Amino acid sequence: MSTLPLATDRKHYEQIHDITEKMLKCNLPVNFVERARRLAIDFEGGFDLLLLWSDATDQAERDEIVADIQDEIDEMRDDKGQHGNRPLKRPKINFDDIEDMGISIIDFKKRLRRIVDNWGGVPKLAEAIDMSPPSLYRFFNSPSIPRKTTLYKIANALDLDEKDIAFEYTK
Amino acid sequence: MEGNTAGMNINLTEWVTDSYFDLVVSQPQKISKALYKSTIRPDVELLKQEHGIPLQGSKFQNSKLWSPATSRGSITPNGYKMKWHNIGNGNIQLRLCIAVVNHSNGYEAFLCRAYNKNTNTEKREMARFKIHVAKILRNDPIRLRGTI
Repeated sequence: MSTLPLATDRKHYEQIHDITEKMLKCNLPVNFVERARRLAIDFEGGFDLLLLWSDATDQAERDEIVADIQDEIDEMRDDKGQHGNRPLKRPKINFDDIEDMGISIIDFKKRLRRIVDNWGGVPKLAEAIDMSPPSLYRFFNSPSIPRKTTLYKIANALDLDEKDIAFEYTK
Repeated sequence: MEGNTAGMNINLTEWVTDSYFDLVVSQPQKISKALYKSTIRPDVELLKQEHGIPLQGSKFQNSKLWSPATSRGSITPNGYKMKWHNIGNGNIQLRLCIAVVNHSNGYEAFLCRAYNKNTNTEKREMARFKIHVAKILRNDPIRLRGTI
């Protein structure tokens, strides 16, 4: 029997260990790094994202990769415990509606961002809700449908009312 | 190729609708409704006439339109890309990542990610696509936002 798979696995785990250690040295949140490690173990594409982060030479690129990893982690957290009826059918989205929906989402996020800025800003919020700052900046700047779990985290951290985070499009 | 009388079902995942928001609202070179209707959707709809891999339609024989997805030099199994070059005002290099899965009742396509290709996006998008293909193949919970 060849020992190659074991050796390959060991190398794989060593790379994951080295990169996650590097992430901790770059002050990424401990919980984020732990979940990134799990993503890399569970998915080859997650491992690829870690390698890309490690190889990236500029901070902006690293921030984008961190936000990508966080997106994947958030999705796994939200879908954890979902059983049966796979895939999960959600209301359809027509391409014709995307522009109007996106503009509405951006407006909502701008309103929420103003509240956050008055409270203390995105980096303070990122620390309070245990998210990496690049992920939170992407959350506020992108027109994608906000996750309810992220909105609840923000509401709890800022002690907001339901009406402050109520919005017609959430996932 | 395994034969089936019905063509492929085409599913829109929530991943692809999320990326449409970015392409339609955020990107400097936006994908307009007219461009979607005149160019992108008709090409995607051609998949409905297909019954399996390899695809038989003449357009799909052109590797500039259809090719396997690759990440770190390796082909992503079940992963493909539809590509449109210099569309819109000539500045959009649109890529649509599609997982094609052979179920017992026939082939099914899942539109997973769409992006404007540049040197910064390609590797990240391919890595994320690989995660999404794996989720589909593992029967993990994935979210669908309609069909074509």
